[in-house]
Amino acid sequence: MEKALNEYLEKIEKYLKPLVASERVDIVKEIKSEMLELQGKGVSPTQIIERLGNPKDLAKAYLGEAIASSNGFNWHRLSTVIAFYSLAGIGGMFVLPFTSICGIAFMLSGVFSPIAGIIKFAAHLLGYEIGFTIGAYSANAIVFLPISILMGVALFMIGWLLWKLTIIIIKVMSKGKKKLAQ
Amino acid sequence: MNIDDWKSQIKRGTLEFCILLMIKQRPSYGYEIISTLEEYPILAAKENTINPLLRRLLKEEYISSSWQESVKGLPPRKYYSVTDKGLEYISAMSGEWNNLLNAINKIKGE
Repeated sequence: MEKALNEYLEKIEKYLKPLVASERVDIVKEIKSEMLELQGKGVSPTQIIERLGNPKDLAKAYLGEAIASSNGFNWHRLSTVIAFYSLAGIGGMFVLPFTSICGIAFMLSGVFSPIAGIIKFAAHLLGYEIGFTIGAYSANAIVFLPISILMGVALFMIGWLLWKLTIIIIKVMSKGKKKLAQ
Repeated sequence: MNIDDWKSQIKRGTLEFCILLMIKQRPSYGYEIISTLEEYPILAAKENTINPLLRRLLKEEYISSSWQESVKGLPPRKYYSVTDKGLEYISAMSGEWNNLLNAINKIKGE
């Protein structure tokens, strides 16, 4: 196989690093198969590369689909997003880490807040008072429990909205890049 | 008049349907699908659209794939075929498609 074509495949492989190895190998193999198909029809390597387009865009099309096609939150998807944009480096580099990381931080805080409330309440039942003071104010354990739950829900909602926003940004980006051929 | 923008929206909505119909006829590989689509300007799309779309259909289990290793002189090819779930999906889409055509015809008054 021509050097230029091999280099193209290596680039694709590099940009697809965020995907699991088996999937990455399969994608590269399929693109290679098409290259051989075209070569067999007498298409030159330069024309083949022109047809496939910028390797970064092609890789991103695969990742964009992988990320945008399912809904909801999962760690694997998040790491895929962050890993790809740190490899490919584009405009969204600052926005995406911000929205995604804040989203997660808020959601986690949302989970921890009621846990803290429950711990404080349980400690109170056992006769301990765990400190939680804002200035001179110290909530008593019984009042604090519902407050901590409400706070947890609110924090979680904020986190969830930020996460949604992250997904929307990604969708818009991959749509922009898809550029359906006219 | 910006007909291209409208055309690409139509394409976005129908490519999935067309690809499934094509694979239903007989199992095909990526390049074959892309070159068949290229015969119809309204459907023509490149690898960076079709390949990820095929992957999504695979993940959603509407299609399945299998590698056919080199037959003499040919590169290994990844063939896609429709699953039972895919067949159901196609028939639901066909129904909606007919609804749309009927609606357009009625609105046109023909």
